[in-house]
Amino acid sequence: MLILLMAVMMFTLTAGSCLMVQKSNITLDLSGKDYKFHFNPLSSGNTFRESAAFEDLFSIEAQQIIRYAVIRNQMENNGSFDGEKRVDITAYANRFKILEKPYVTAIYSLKDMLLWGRYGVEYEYVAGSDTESELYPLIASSDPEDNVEYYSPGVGYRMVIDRYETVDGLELEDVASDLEEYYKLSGYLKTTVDNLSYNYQEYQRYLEDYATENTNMRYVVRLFVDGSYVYYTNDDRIESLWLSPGKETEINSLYYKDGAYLFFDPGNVSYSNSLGLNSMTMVEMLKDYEYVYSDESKIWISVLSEGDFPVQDSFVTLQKAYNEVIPKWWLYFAIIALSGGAFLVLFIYTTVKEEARVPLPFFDRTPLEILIAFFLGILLLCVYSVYTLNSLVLYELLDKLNYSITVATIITIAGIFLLIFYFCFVRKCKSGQLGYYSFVGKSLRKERSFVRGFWKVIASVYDRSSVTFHVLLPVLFVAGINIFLTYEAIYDWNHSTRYIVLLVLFNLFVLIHRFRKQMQFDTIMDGIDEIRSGALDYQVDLKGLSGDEKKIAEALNDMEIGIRDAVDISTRDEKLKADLITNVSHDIKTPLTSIINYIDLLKRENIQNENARRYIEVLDQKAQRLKQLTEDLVEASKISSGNIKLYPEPILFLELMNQALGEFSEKFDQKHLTVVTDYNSDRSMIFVDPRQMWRIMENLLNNIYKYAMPETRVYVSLDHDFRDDKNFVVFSVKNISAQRLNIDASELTERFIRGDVSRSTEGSGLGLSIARNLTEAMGGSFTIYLDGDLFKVTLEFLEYKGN
Amino acid sequence: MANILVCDDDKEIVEAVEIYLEQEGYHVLKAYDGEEAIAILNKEQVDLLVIDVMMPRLDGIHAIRKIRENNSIPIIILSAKTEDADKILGLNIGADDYVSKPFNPLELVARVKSQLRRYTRLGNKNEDNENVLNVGGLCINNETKEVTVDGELVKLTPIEFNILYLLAKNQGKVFSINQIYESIWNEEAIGADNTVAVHIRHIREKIEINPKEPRYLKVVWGVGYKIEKQ
Repeated sequence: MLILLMAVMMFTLTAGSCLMVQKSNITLDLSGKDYKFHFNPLSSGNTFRESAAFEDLFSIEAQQIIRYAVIRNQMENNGSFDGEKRVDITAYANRFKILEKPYVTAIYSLKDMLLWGRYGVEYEYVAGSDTESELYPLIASSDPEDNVEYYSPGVGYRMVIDRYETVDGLELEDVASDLEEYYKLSGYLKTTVDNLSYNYQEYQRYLEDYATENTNMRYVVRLFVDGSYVYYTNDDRIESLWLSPGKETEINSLYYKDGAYLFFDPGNVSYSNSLGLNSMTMVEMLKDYEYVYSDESKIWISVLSEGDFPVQDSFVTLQKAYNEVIPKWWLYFAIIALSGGAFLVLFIYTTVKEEARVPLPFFDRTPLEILIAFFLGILLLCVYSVYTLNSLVLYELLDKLNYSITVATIITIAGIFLLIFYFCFVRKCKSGQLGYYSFVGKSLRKERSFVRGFWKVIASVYDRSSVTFHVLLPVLFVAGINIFLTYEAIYDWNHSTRYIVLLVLFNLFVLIHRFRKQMQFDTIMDGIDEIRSGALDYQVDLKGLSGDEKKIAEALNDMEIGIRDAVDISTRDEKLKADLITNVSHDIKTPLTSIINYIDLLKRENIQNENARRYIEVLDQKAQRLKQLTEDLVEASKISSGNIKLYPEPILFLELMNQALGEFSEKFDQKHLTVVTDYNSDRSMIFVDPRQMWRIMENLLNNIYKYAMPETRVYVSLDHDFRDDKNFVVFSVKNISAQRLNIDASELTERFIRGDVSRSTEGSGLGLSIARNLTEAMGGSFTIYLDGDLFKVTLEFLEYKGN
Repeated sequence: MANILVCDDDKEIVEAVEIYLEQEGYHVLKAYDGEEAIAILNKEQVDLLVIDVMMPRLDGIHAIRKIRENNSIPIIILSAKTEDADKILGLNIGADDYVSKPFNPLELVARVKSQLRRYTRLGNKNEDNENVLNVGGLCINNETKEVTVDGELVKLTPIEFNILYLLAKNQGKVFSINQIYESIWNEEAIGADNTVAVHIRHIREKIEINPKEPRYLKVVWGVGYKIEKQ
């Protein structure tokens, strides 16, 4: 199952992430204290020495060396521990201040103080009246009124025990001149003993840690003590006997070449380093020890620069940890990215795939509210447990790998549950029944529920409002909620998180809603495109639409049906009309055939009767005219209804003209009509249907044959005209009419109106009408000009130029 | 004499046709629908069928199809349906000719004769003679300068003969007026001269059964003239 696969991906993802986080952090124990170091994967290009972790370690160790030098100064003479060193307790206790000389003090040996430090300074209490106690002289000489501070009621005066002898063998009570002084001194004593003891412990550790053979750090510290320069160092590259101010330039050059260095020269206010720290930071490092690092002091600190560190110290440990993560960071990242990517792909695949609207299985019918509650619950539980796990002692107990596994397992299990719930959510959405199974949904559906009634009222108000309202209301609503939540978040800053979450969720819902609306709109647009491109059967799928979009889609579908019906009716009518003409003409032609045949037969009979022969002749003529009329009728109706198929080709007008005139040469000769041709264009071609063109010519020439006055001339011309950037071929034919033309040109071309009103001559009126329709159907123009007896017809076609 | 079967649901037309054909000396059988025609064909010896399309029981088209399964006699369709589509259908289905109503009786007779001649004349051997052109029923002899159409001699003037020969020698090729003029008169054409067109017309009148619907010499309007490949 896909969920299982996704769970595995999730597990890999979290395990990898945890591991990587773990390995990027390490805690080192430096001279008794713990320090945390972090490796930044993004600086993966750097070597260990270039990394921030290295710098941090160096700074920390440098700081420790600075302190170490101070302690050495306290504990040593001539570069090694000297137990006989004299300790001035007042000076020590007041080392951060400036003491005014002379001052009262006691001098002890370092060795003694450290010894006493093991057990701490001990006290005993003596009564004020005990004349035997050594404190008595001081007590007696003081003012009883002032004694209150030093006296604990019921116990007595506190006194250090009789052990702490100065180098001169004196006790404190011998040194102090009064009780106040005594207590001050005993305070100093305690402070100094405690301090020095603590320092001694550190001294021992530092002695070990910063011995030349135990560390990669190198240092030289110069102090000014008792009027002369004292040097502290662990650098075996320098002869310690050698050290003097004169050699310091050589020390400089030595340290500047090392892997990293720090150089302090407070006297000249000169601080330099290889780490890019500024002077203020370096001054800070000396902050607590200003009393030692006077203007006469100098400090050089560095790390050995030869590649891998020669000594196995904390640098080596850190470097090892660094190299465990950083070079392999790419690998970790790749694993995380891959599993994360695979997860995402699977996720999208399962949620975006199209699914049919099916009735929901049992599990999916859980009410929406419960689903959301569970989802949030598990999410919170998971987050909480990981968080506590992180800060619990458990983290210390579990080693790094186990920790990763535990966290990953928790997240995976939680993730599986979340996924199940999420998919349920998605299934609800896809089948369009998101709100169906929910408490709110149920109450909306219940016939008489209050919620339903309320909703209906709102819906009806919304429906009846105008478009502006439709747009304005949602926008105001969204804006209002956003403003309210933002205001609350800012105003109630402490709890702003919840408002921000609500804000994000709300806008997410709005976004999803808008998306849905847009998709619906797109469906409608697709429908319109289909209709536009002629697919009149297309019906927009109403599934998944709502509100205004649904109304539009329904209207669209209805319109489509209407259009389709209208088109059907129209085509049917056209077909009926065409069929009618054909059928009628067929029905007329059949009896007509018989009439013509029998008239012919009659003609063959040798009828002697003169009248009878004349009658037969008349019958013949009329029958022929009827035949012509029928054929013309069919042609005319076909052409005017556009039912004729044209097959245009490029043809030579001149050729056509000659051919046509040739056809009519005999007929014209019959009526003694002379043809005069005038042509100005030779090879011009036009793009027309040749057969139809012939029929036009035939009509025109026939017309002339029928109506021209005998023994007159007929003028035929073929010419060019250049207009509107186009070349036209112009053909015109003129003749003198036998009868008076007493109507104007436009009427002449109307059907069934002919040249003479009496209609006594033969021929039908359709000829010119057919000619005009044909000409125009082929893209040409047909004009008639009448002047007195002059009858002129002009045809114009666009010249066809090759190709 | 040949037996001709005339089939049409209109009795008057059948009788009229009968009269024409009998005047020419043919023996006429009559039928009034497709089934009757087929029945007669099966019983009698018939040399040619003239049949209408629109008839009850079995219409002309279906009848022809049935007849053509086992009979190859010439069939002429006689029909009031004059659209190109109808003609094409009829000729494709197996008819040899198509005459529209109303028709010229003489034309019908001429076509009947032509079909019979073609049918009965067994094997029109092409004489391997370059000087004799045979185009369907048209035979042009360049040696004797004689032209026969379905065996009948036609009188043509020398110019007419030359034009016809030129076109017949190049069956299917279209010649413009200029080309014909230059070829025959050996001069350049003047231009707006319809001499050639007139001659063509005369030729057509002489050799075609129906000059308005020529079988051989066709006008390609706007381009020229040609002899149609048979």
